[in-house]
Amino acid sequence: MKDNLPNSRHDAPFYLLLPVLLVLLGLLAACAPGEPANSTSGAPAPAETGELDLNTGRNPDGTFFIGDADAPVTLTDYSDFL
Amino acid sequence: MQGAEKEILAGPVAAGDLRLVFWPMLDLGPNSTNAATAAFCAGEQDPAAFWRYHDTLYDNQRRVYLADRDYFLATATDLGLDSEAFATCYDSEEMHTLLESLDQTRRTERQVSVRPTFDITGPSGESERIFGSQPFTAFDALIQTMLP
Repeated sequence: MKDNLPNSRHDAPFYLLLPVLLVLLGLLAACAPGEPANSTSGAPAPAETGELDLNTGRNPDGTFFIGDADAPVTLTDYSDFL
Repeated sequence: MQGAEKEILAGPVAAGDLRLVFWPMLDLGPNSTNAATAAFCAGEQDPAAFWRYHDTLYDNQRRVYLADRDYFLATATDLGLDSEAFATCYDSEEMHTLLESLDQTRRTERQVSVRPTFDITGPSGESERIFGSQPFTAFDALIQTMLP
């Protein structure tokens, strides 16, 4: 009766390769990128407005701003919502 | 500017160097005005709500293009705003008048026609203008030159 035991002549390469494959997978996992680091340009990580505790306010002309009211530089974004 | 906007907020705005202002352009039909009205009405309740509404509109631009009044009202409700006050503001002539005035100023006094356009203004009133969506580095380079 043919048993189900591994045939050492045909299955040996698989059992030899298995630990090699496991080592390779471990190396790939170790080399995989983790949390994104700051870009080389030094740009900060992006965030939604709600994630940062930023001051908001309204200008005398009725427009809205985000940031310190007395910040030295102003960036005005002329855009359409569409 | 969306991608750059996030970096701008996390960088020079968070550092106290920059204040970001949104100036609506109303060139693309009725929903340009309707979307701006909705965002400004959110801001009427809380300036921070303007920016939350602003982010929501930009995250859903495809829907906003065909949105109706119910959509804008539902968005306000979803953001936790006073629905009745929002609806009153949205339907009022007062907000439309303000937005038309801002748009007129944009076109005539500030001569802005390209969408989007950005003015970076320093503490002495000096100003640089850039056009179109740009990477953060383009904005940051000009911002840094303006800082005292």
